[in-house]
Amino acid sequence: MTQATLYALTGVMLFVMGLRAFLLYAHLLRKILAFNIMGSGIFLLLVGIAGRVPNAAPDPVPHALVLTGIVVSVSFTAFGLVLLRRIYAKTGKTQLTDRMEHTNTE
Amino acid sequence: MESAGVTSSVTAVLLNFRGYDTLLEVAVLLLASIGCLTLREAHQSGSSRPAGEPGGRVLDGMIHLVIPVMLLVAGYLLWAGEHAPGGAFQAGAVLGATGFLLLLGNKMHFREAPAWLLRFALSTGLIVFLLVAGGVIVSGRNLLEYPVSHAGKLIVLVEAAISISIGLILITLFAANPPSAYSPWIDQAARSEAGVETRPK
Repeated sequence: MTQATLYALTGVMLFVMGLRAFLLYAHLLRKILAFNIMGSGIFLLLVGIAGRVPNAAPDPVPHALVLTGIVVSVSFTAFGLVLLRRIYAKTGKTQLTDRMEHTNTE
Repeated sequence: MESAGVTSSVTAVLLNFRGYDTLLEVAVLLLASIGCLTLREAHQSGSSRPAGEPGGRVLDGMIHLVIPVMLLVAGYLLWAGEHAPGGAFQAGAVLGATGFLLLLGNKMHFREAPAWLLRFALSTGLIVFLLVAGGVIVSGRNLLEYPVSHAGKLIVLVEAAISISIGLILITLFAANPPSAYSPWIDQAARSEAGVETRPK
C-alpha cells in the first residue's frame, strides 16, 4: 500500500464517519461538526490523489482545490454557527423541528 | 508553466489557470461574512467593553510581543507565494489570527470604525480581482487570461488585495460568533443571555 492510498483510504473513512454522524444526530452543532469531518475526509482524499504518482512532483491542481475548500468550509462553519445561535435564541431548541409536529427530526 | 508568471505551481493553478475558482471563492467568503454581520446586527446591540480596558496582563504582554512578528510572517507568506508554498490564503489566515488576538485582548473595536471603511476593506479583494479579471478583456483577451509579460505583477497585486480581505473577513466571522466571556459586541445584559445560551440543556 503506497502512502497516497493510505491517505485516500483514511479520507474515505473520515468521510463515512462524518456522513453517519450527520445523518444520525439531530443536534445542529453535531451536524456542523460532522460536516467539517466529512470535508476533512475529502481534503485528505484529494491530497492523497495529488501524490498518486510515486517519485514525481505532486499534482498542484488537487492542492489548489483543497486550499479553496478549506477557506469555504471555514466560512460555512462560521455562518452555520451564527444561524445555530440565532435558532437557539428564537426557539430555545438546538435542533430543527417539524412545524406540523407529526415527526421530530430525532 | 512558463506562461504562468509565477514559479510556484500551486499559486499558478490558484490564480492563473483556475483563477475563476479563486474568484468565486472570494465571493463566497464575502457572502458568508455579510451574512454573519447581518444576523449579528439583527439580534445583538449595545456597547462593548469600554475601549482600552486591558484583556489581562499575560494576554497584553503576548500581544505586544507576537503581533509584529505575525504581521511580518503574513508579509513573508504573501511574498513567498510567488515561488514556494505560501500565498494569499496563508497570509490572510495569519492576518486573521492577528485580528483574533487583538479582539481577545480588547484592542480592536469594529463598531468605532466607519461602516463604509469596513465594507470597502472587506470587499477590496473581490473588487481588485474583478478589475484585473475584467481589465484583461479590454486588451482583447479572455476573462482571467493575463498577458504573459505582466502576469507575475498582476498576480501579486491580486494576492495582496485578497489577503487583506481574507484576513478581515475571517476576523468578522470570528467576531460574529463571540465566545460569551470575550464578546466584543455584546453588552452586559446580552452577555448574561449568551451565558444561558452556551449552557447545555
